[in-house]
Amino acid sequence: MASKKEIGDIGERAARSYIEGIGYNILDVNYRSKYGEIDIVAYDGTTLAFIEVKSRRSTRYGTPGEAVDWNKQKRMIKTAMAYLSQNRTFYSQLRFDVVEVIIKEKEIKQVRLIKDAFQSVGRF
Amino acid sequence: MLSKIYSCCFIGLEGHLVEIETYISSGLPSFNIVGLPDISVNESKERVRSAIKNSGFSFPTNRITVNMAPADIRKEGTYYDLPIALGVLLSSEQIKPVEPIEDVVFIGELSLGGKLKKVNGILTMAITMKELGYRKLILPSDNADEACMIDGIEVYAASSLEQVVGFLCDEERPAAHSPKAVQNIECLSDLDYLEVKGQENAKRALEIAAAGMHNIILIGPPGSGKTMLAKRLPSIMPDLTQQQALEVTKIYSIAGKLKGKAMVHRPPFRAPHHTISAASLVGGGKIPKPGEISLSHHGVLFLDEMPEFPKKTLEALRQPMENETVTISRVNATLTYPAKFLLAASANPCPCGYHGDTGRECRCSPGEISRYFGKISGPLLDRIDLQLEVGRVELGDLESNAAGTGSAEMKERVMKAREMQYNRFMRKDTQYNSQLSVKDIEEMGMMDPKALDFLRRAYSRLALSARGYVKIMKVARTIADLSGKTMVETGDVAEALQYRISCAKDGI
Repeated sequence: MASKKEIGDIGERAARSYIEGIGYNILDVNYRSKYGEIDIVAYDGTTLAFIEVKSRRSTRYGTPGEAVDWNKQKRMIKTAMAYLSQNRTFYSQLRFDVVEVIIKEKEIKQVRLIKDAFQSVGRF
Repeated sequence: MLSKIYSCCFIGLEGHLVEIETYISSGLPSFNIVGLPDISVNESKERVRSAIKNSGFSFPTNRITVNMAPADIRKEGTYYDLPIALGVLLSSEQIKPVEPIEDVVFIGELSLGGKLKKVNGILTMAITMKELGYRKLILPSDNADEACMIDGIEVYAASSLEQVVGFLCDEERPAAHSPKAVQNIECLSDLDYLEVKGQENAKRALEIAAAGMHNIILIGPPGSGKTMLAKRLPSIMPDLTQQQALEVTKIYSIAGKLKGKAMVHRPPFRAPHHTISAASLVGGGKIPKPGEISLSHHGVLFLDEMPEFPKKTLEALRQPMENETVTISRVNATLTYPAKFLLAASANPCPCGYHGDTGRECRCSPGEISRYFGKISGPLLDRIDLQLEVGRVELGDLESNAAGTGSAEMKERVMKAREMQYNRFMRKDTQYNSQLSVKDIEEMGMMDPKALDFLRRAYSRLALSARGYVKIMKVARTIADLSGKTMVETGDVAEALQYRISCAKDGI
């Protein structure tokens, strides 16, 4: 059985090829700040998308996307703000996406992109 | 996708239509309810999620937003489980109704397994939806009979979410629910005045009280049968009229006290313990709920051992007793509940209980007696039309096998008296003699001139209050009704007077 790390790596590779396949331009991967990490930063047209990849072996304990809870969202929003202040990036809109990947026996069963998964509301 | 479903809510005795919109959009899986939901409404998310899964549908893993309009009314309760679940199913396009559902109102609580459970206040909500022009009501089967009391709406009873979906999506619509023939069970309490030995004068007073809905207080030593007498009051009261039954059922419906019955036909009898708080007696809560006085609307409120009740609690009764309604104001709502009740009270004459008893000596000091009885204030006592001393039961009465007056016989007289009142008033706002105004009494010219003269002399001789004067007129009217007389005679006034002064003479 694949380890957690392997599952994550396979998932991220699968997510990258999937979003490139539908026309995203990847700008950065595994961007780290003191607040946390963003798996993929990519352009969808002129919209800058911060993408979290969630991989799971099964949906028995809920879909992978459901694991992106409020705390994870807060960390992503803060990291995105850190990214924007470090890099002078052009964008027309910002968006947070989540890619769900289901992996069984190192084989990719399903990839699902949730565009505009959550919004940055409230104060940070 | 957006869907819209109608449901109902109620605040006090007033219902409101609630529009439940469900929108499913892309985004992380989430489930939010907006539109001023209470905690109890927010909890319905978990029930809805589980009920949908256990009814063979899938719960959408998208962002679900539910809005309840009007958003300025605080929604509480569990009636929205069913409409929310249907909203989710409609928005996720898992079900497609064959007919439009714009004129259907959905009410019901769901269990985790998808079964529908009964809710409170159906009667109020059914009346509201009818007034607003909605014709179809889908609700839990346990509530169906209650809703069927309202003519002009089609009631569909369902026992599960699956069944509701069947109603909406199947080509063949099931027939509307028709209530089982309302069994008019003569649910007379098994208590009977035959069981009370002696105390014929007290029975007479209670008969007058029941006939004219006059308040009554029984004062006597322990063991004289005060409680026994009062508990048998419902056995001599006639059934509620259709209009009264509807009023009482509405209150019981929102209080959740119908206990499987579709309608309350018998006058209610409430006997709260003396530790009751003022709020639960007159009604209260964040959104005020009806209290004991409203639950005994058109029935009996029995306060056993009245001086044991906190003074504050008793004084709260004064205003409702005059107005026959109670208005309760809280931050969230100001509500008015009807409260036309017969107050029956019992009390000992003093702390030891034997003041004025023929057999035993009282051990209380005058101070103790006045303190004890002082809990029942003058104004409250003044509102009690019939004040009666109940003496000890004589051994001869106790052991005799001769049947005294029984409930059946008393009820017959009471019903005759009620009929006379009914024919006299023919007006909706006055139903009992205790509701008569001085103007009514004068206009109807029901007093024999001699009787009036007698009353005038009594007024100045006994220093009666103005209220007392009117109360005696009313009681005398009921006494005359009991014997079927159209005019009130001197004898009737004299009897009424006797119930007034028996306690006053002792200074209590």
